Amino acid sequence: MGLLARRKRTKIILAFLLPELALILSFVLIPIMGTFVISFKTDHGYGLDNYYGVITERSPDKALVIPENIVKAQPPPWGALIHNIVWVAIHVPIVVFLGLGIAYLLHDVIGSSIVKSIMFLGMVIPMVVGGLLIRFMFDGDLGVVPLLFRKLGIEALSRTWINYPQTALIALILGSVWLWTGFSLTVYAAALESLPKSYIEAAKVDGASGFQIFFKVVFPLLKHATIVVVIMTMLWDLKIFDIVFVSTLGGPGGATNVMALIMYTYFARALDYGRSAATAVILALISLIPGIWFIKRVMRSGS
Amino acid sequence: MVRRRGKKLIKYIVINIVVWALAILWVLPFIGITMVSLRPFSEVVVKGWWNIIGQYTLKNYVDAWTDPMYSLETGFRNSLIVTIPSTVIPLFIAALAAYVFSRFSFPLKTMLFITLLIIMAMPQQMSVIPLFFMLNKMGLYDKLQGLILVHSSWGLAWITFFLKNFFDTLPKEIEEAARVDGASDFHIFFRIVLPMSLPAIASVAAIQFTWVWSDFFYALVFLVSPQNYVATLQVATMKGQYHIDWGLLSAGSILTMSVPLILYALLQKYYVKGMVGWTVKG
Amino acid sequence: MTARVYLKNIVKRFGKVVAVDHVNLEVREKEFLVLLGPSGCGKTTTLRIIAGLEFPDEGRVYIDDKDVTDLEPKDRDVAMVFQNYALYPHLTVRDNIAFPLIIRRKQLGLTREEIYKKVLEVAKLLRIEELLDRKPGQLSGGQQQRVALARALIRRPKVWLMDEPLSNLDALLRLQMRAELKRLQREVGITTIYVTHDQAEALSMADRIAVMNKGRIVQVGTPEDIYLRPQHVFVATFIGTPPMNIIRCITDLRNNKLYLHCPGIEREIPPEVAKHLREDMELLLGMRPEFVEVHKEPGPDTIKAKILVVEPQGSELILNLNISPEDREETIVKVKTKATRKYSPGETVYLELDWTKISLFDAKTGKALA
Repeated sequence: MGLLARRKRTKIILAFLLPELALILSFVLIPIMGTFVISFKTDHGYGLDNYYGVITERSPDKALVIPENIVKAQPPPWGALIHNIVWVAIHVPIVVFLGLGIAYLLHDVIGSSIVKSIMFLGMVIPMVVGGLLIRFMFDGDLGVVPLLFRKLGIEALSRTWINYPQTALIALILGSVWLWTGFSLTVYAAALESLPKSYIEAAKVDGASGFQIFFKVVFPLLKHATIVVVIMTMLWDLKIFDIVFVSTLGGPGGATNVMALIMYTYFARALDYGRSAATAVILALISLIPGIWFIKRVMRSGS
Repeated sequence: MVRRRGKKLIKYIVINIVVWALAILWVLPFIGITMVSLRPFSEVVVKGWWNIIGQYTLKNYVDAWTDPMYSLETGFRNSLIVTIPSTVIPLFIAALAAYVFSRFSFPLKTMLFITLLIIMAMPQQMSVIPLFFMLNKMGLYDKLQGLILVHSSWGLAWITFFLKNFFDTLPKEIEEAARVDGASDFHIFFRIVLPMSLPAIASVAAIQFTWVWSDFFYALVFLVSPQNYVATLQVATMKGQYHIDWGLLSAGSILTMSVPLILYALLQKYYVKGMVGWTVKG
Repeated sequence: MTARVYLKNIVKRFGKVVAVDHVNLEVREKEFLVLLGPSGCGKTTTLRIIAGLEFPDEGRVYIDDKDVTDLEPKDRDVAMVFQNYALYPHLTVRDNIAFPLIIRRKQLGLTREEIYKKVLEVAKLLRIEELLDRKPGQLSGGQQQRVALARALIRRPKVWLMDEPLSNLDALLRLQMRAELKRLQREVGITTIYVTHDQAEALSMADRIAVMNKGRIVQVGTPEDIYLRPQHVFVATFIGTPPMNIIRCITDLRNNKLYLHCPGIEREIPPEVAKHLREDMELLLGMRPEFVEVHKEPGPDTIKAKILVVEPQGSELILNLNISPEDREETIVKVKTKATRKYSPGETVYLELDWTKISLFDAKTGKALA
């Protein structure tokens, strides 16, 4: 390339890139580094004290893995990290199969675009409102779910779910299914739309049944969409904060505590920045599991 | 033949019933709080909100909007002051960067791009403690400007990623034609590339607006005075610790979510494209 | 003779791939030059180097004797028509055509009205004046093509560059546009460099053709030259439908005379050709399918051949023949003949070659022998 042209190109690249780099460096990268540094700060220099403290903490409002009132084979609290993991373990498969199932059936449904829009609402509303709505859904006086169980004669499930450690966590997880299925449905619907019909027609001609077509042909062909849904749902579950904050604040008795909330508790209530940062780092490192998976996929499809 | 068709019809009916039952279940909470917000609480508690006969009133909305301590009027104003610049600024800056990422090669490009992807996976929690100190030093703590700065900076990564993917799909020939026709790089970007990218820009704007409007965590950490509260903070505060005024809370919730919902109603296509697109390449 | 465009020793590499390999090319004033070659031969890259969209690793580019190697496209005064037309989707046809002038409005000192007047003139020339208020998305392929041409025309550039501009059109329209494009170029008299992989397009439109293969220019010449006197076996086999028959032969010295020894063919090599040759050389004999006559009966200088397949092509036939004397071996030759009589597979016929239109190539280098 000519020298002149090259110099000009360099100028353009710099002019276009600099504002972004400046903002990201100052308000994104430096704070992230800062959090690392703060997490290692102790009374006597640097060390792992904060991490040790955070992991071995047993008070129910901050415990990560071993809350003091834990009893084997008993309802929560099990510790915030465990709650996050349970959340992922229940939420991800439900969201994947519900979203895919509905997207697949939508083809034969009257008013399918209305159904899609309704399901997508959970993606549009503020999570704070989502949390309040979850609370409303499971409210013993007003909520639909307890009412349903009352009609079925199951007394244990006809009260306000989030007030009891046995039901609070599962109520929030089911509520997050309600909020997030729209994402999965939308991704799968888009993927199904772009799927050439000839695959399914070929399978039909080959004599496959409806179930076989779904599990042997459609589901494998939607692998990419599934990976996207799984990664994004995991990231969302690990960062979950708003809906817990407004509905239970981690209670009752720490039964719905999650990582992000503990980080906030250390930061705003205990004013223990070191431990707060350590919690954030642990959360970030766990988020990097789906994160790196995501990055690898992007980089591979990019080259 | 007839039996086959009959079987098909039954299947069709069952599918419709199942999917629509789910859709109704999904929309039920929205109907519920709408009813609660419009009716005196005593009536709702006794008869249930599904009972549509009774008194209707807008009192809850008026209360939520004018509450002396946590008025949603203030919340809305603050939310708009934060949300509009926090949508426009990163959109503009990221569009410039995304264009460079899409069209030019330069040293460290891959590394910078991976950095953006890592930022996208980072939880907000990873940044707030140092940001809290930084904003304090800059005099922007408990200020809406501080929140704008944080939202703008954290929106850059995903918007850059999204727009780069979009620019990658635009045919390069159009820009080359413009170059041969005599247009400068700036001209090409502002007059050719940006106008062609309006759908993508609409998607980004809709989603970034919704996310900033809906944000709770940054607002919770960086705003303390009630007169600076954004709408999401106001609603969360209305909840109260021990007693829940469901009427007020429902009205507040409906008002707060109405803004993104209206936007969604207007720009539905762009929302869906955006939500799907920012996760998927191409 | 002035060269409008002159490429001197151009080399362009993409990583390890040499896309353009020491290309030298002169394009004359008002000439219609076609860069012809298979995909990946470097013809588009060469065109983009002339446009300034790529910069060569070695060599210089001259336009009107001025070294433009380091200039940006906008400073070269060239216009380009792209394969997918590259119309600006958000602008109307009028603004698309006006674009190159609007960009330079201040330089040229033109008002918007003057520009639009010029747009109308050009639009009339291309018969698209009633499309001016539409957007590109509302146009058919052929109409888009005309808009792209109009945009390239409005500025009266020094050089027109065209990158397979007709390949996205359907067959009939392509034929029409060929003629129209040629007429337009004649009328306006703009030097044109036209890239295509379609030999029929090249033969029908070009003043001269530059045939490219693997980044190199293999031959430059008039369509007639290229067709009748291929300088390289690549050109011979790339051009023509069906392409030139190539038969592997050996030279043979008998009675101090050099003979060409091919399957089914024995012939003395004329002395002026023979002086470049030696005994036992491998040669390739090339004959165009249309320069062979088919007879029922053997003649004085005929080659016996057996019909394998008959392909009817409208008024003509293509016969696939085996000219090898041994039935076990196969030396297949395609011959084009009028469909005035019936041929059937298995039949034996006798071929008479037009020896004045035969080409000989060195089997090692592929180059033509004088």
